[in-house]
Amino acid sequence: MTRDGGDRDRRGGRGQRALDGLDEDIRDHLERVTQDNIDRGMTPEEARRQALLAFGNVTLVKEDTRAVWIRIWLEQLRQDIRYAWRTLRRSPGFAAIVILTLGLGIGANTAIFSLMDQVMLRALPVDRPEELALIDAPGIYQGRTTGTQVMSVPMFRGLSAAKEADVLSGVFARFDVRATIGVGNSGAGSPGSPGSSAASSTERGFAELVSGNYFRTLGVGTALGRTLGPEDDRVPGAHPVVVLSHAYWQRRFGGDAGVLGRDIRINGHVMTIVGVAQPGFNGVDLGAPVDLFVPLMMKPALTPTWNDLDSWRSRWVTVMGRLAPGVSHDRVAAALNVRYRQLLHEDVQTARVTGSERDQFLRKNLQVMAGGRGKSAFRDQFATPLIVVMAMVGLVLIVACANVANLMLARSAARQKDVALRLALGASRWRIVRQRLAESVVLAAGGTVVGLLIASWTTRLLIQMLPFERAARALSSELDIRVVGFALAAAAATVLLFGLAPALQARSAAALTTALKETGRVAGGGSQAGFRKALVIAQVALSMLLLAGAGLFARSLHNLRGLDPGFVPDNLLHFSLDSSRSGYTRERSIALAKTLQEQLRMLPGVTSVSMAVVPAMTDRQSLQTVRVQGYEPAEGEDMSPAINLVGPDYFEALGVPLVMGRAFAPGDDERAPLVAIVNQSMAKHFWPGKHPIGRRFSANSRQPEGAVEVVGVVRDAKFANLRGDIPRFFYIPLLQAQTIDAMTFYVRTRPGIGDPFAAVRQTVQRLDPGLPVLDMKSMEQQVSDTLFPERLVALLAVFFGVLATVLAAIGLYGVMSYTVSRRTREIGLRMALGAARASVLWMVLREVVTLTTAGILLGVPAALAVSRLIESQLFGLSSTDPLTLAFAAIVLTLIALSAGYLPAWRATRIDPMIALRTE
Amino acid sequence: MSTKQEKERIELLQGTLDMLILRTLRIGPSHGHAIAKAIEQGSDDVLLVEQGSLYPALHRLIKRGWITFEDGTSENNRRAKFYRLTPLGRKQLDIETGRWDKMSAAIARILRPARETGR
Repeated sequence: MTRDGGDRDRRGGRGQRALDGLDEDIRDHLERVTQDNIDRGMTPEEARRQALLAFGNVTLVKEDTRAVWIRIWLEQLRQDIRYAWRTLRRSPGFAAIVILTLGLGIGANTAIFSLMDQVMLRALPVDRPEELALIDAPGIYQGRTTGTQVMSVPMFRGLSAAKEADVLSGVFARFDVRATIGVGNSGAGSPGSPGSSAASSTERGFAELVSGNYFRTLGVGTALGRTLGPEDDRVPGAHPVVVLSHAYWQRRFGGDAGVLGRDIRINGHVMTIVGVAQPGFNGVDLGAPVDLFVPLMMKPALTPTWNDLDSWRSRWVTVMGRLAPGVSHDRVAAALNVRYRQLLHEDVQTARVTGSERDQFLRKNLQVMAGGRGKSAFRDQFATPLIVVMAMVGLVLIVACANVANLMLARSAARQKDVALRLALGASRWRIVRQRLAESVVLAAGGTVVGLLIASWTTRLLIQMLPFERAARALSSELDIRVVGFALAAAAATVLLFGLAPALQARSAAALTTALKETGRVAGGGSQAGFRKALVIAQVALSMLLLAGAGLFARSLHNLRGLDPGFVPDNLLHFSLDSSRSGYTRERSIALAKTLQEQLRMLPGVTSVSMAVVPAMTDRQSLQTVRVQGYEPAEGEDMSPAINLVGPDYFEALGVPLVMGRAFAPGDDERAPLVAIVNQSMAKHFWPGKHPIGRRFSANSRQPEGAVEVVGVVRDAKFANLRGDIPRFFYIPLLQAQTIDAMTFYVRTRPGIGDPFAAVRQTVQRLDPGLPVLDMKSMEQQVSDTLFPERLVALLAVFFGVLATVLAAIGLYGVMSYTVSRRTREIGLRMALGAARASVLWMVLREVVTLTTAGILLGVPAALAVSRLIESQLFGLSSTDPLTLAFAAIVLTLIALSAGYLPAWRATRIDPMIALRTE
Repeated sequence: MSTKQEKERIELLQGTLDMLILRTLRIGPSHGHAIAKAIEQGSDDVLLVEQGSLYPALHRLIKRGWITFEDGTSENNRRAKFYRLTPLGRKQLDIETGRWDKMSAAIARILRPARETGR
């Protein structure tokens, strides 16, 4: 006999111990009976049969035995919860405050988690997403690159032929592209014929060009019709078929099953709808849900100005594959690299590279990365802000829990006599702890319900705030099982955080029984007050952390806002025309640009109008490799400055001053000599200390050396966004552009008349009613949109910082009120002995200052340590910015003092006579 | 599973099993199989214990604090639970035995005259 059965054990634990080894006990029992039977002369089989017969149904016995314990446990749980419910109903104010506090905390956490889950955690809604891999070909390259982590189509074809290495069960390529979609009226006799365009509407949509095994490799099926297969991906331009996304089908066609076989015009090309993809699948980029899936071979129709289906010198497709079962990324990379090296030898033949560059080129390796969550620039942009905000709301939840714990302790102090009475009547201490916990569980359950409501509402609000219409479409504010699961887990965590301390306090206070003997004063109050003060210090420290973060983010946003972008965003309106996708040739686009410039300039209040191919402040940037006459690039030097094709008056319209030379004139057209304007950074880089006007360079491989002459220099200006550094930049006249894909128009007005949105739109529509006016916005709005992640983080940081501080102030107020009420007699005595009111006031406030200072002293090093993690998110200030820390500390101290002032003031109002008489 | 065997056997009344277990354990700690055997043999094999029902009963008694258990090794060197009477259980046994005596005497007084008149 080794272990003691243990009368000391609690009920729950003892049940578990008794049930341990039940199976073994029963087996042992049966074997013994069998043995007895054998001893009586039965055969072993008969002996076993009789033993089982005498025992009865083994499973049933086990169930009955377990039920002995479960029933009592459930019964007690029911009792505890009912008791908790009754006690809480007696103090609805307390319950409401706690539930609301927890609801805010859980709600904020759930809302952010919901977004984080959708943006960062969730896998693509495809078959076994964990097997998907993204294949990237990084390293030196020569040619045009569209997007990130992309390859040329010949390279993709070469690699997909290599899957005999049986490390991949499938490979596909895809490319995301804008499209002008025209849907004819369903009754139209000959859909797609030019005459029917009046009866139909055009709109901007998004298409994904996909290679033949896209759907098969992803394991995505259809809701209707068929998917696209290898048979749709053979001859360029010969497969005019599309599959709609389920969401687009619902939105545009109301889920009409009759769409199959119907025609749709994409950039003016008639294509046939052959299927609708399975619900929930919107392509492999979660920030860019697509409306249509089109065979890769239809690229000429989707991008009228460039084809590149056979060019090694243009990288634009994302390549993904599905790993064969049990194959690691490393093995795939090793197997594919063998083939990749062979393909590179073919690739390098058309590349214009020097000898050492050639070696580097041939030494490149493929990279194979997890692709189960697809690929998303949106995710890359929002991952860090989301993590930061998630950390903030986590801290807020802790502060909220500390507050609730504080309230619960104050309440349990008031109920100590009640507890002592019940202990005296024979209630077990464990049972009382459980009852306390049950109360916490009921409160947390209430908090979860409120939290889920707040979460659903907050998520919807945040999604509506997103200035990225397309990404917002991919996000949902619905509370799915994962989100609800998270809320429940958060609630369970809060029970541990706020419920355990008061519950254990009820248990550990063995001296409680003495509470019965003491009449008015409460035993154990001293240690309890100490614990509550510790909670307040922790709250102040966490608030300090959050306020410091809020200060850093707010000042960083302020710095970005106050930044001189180098152009004038006020009184500037812009919009885009997707001319090439609406059937415009280069010549028609140029004619359109000229006419629009003239007509828009005549609108009242308009001072200048211009246009450019690459839109400003959209995070887009086009790079072009140059060869500069008389400039010898260093080994590995980046020779690709940013380029834009701009119309006449562009710099005037944007408010970028010319510092040298001349601006583009209407005469700088295709018949005139090629000219360029460069920014100061480019001039300084290539011609340091020299006069840049008249210098020459060539801007693409087809141009002869020095074909372009620099005629002007403009001041450096931010272009893609406010945050980034200003790159070397050069501008080419729009009239000298070889192709025009799309144009963004800029309309500057006189200050004070407002942006003439309607007049501009009418002007465009009068010229061509079939040409959609896209993204019309004021430039100020556009600039502000690029700052959205920063604005969002700053806004939430300030909100949660203030919330945490208010919660901490409430906690402080509660503790100080409690302290003052406990010291009523002592204060009364002091006053009776002649203490001045001011000294009583100071006595209480001194404690407030002590608590706050302790919190701040703990909070500052924590803030310094944590803020280093957000350094990369800040702009124009250091993460250890002393001013911000000081500001946070001062704000906290002021709020703490005002929270402590009321109890302190009340202390000075104590009437010594009354105080001394009360027990 | 109360198939009749060679002798006529009586099934136990609800609750009486608990009392018999307590009585058996009064002699000393014992494991499950031994308790079942003791009850059957002690009653000269008249009382039929459906042996499986012993286990819920044992756990019920543990829960009420009337018996407790210890993990030990049995004579054939196997792990087994040994059940032992607690002081509370001993008191309970006394109460139950007293109640049983009173009840069986009362029932006997009623039944015996009735049977005589019936004959």
